[in-house]
Amino acid sequence: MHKKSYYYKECDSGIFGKVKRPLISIDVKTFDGTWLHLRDILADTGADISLLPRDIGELVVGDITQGKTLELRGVVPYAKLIVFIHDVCFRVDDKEFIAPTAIAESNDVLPILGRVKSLDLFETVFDKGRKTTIIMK
Amino acid sequence: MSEKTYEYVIYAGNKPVLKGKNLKKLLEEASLKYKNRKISISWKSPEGVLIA
Repeated sequence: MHKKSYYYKECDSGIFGKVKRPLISIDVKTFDGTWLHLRDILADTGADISLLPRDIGELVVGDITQGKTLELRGVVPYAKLIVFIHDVCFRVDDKEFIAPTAIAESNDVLPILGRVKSLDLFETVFDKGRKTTIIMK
Repeated sequence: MSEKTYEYVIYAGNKPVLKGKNLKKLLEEASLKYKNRKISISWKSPEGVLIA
């Protein structure tokens, strides 16, 4: 068994002053076979699918519009985001996995590691707002 | 009203070294300036954004 921990990161919010978020680091494979190291990805068990902003998506898959087009919706009524679905290769420590990922048409989104074929592959512990631990078995 | 958009923050090792909105340009600059250090990408959220 191997595990990797990330301390929650303090961020500014409009209402609460500072909030701490479960942000993790992850590698993502680009279309030319190199790895990009991404910091501050939100580990979000409420998200069905992982999400990357457009610029990162273009480094990862090239032409993002080749993926299946979907409208992504969240908790905000009427708000929707156009995304293109691609299989993307991620790496946490030395564990690689391929997950369906929504690549946004916009850059104005926060990258998210969601559940399907991503967080659901691991035992993930959110420890009292202090740290996120990903346990790889 | 100011535009509320994300900015990229480029790290060399554990130190933030570049910030801006043009990711490709930032990565090119970082790879030239910080050849022997691990380059990573982060984000700075616009102020006053809550994530639900």
